[in-house]
Amino acid sequence: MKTRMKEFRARLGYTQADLAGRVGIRRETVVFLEKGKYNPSLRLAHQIAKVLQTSVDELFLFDDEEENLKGFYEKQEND
Amino acid sequence: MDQKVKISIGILIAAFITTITAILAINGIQPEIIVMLSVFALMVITIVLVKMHYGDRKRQIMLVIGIIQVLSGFAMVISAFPYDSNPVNLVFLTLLISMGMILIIRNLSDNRTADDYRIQDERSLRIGTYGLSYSWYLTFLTVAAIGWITGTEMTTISGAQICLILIVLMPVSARFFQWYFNSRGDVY
Repeated sequence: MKTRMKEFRARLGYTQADLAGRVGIRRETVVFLEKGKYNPSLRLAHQIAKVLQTSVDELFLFDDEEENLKGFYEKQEND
Repeated sequence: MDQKVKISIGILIAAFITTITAILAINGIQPEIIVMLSVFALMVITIVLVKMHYGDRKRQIMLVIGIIQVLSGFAMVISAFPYDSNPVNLVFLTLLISMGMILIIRNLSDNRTADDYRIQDERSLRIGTYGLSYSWYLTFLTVAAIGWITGTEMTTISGAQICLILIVLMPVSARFFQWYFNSRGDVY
């Protein structure tokens, strides 16, 4: 599973420590989430999505969705 | 139970034991009993200090109390305290030194951790739990192996040696497994 946390975090100007503080988790957890090495629970995913002002679907991508998103970005570049 | 309530109860117990100890000392009761009660009071204080969440100030207090305990223990060894006349005295003497070392080591290790280390989120709880589970299983296998080795009389291991093995194995293996899962990111 991959995540767009870094992208959404950058949009809001949050550091990893900021995000961790707002969600109530360790900065270390944010690091591993962004690397895709930790799969959050539904509750945590929802909390993170809420802080980043987006939805869980937009934030976390499963394998087949990654391919769809890749295709979407390629199509945007071509257009 | 609220954290502050736990701390308050711990301190009250320690103060009560200290008061009893002082009264016994004034009335000329045997020094061994006084030492026993003092060590017990310090044990309660140590447990409270280790379990509570604290800032820099309280961490300094922990370090000072730890150093005092260790120095007191060694002072008893080189003084006229009859620690070898009664096994119970030796137990409390080693307990005093051990508690002091625990406080000092805990203080030193906390200085090297991140500020948000005290936050227990789902990941840290999961990794902590899995680490302890793996440690328990490893200890179980070790006990089984020891039982098998001693049962077949391949060698003889005393009870004290077995206890020492387990005392070292359990926390070290628990920390190792927790470190391993933490570096991987998750337990899967």
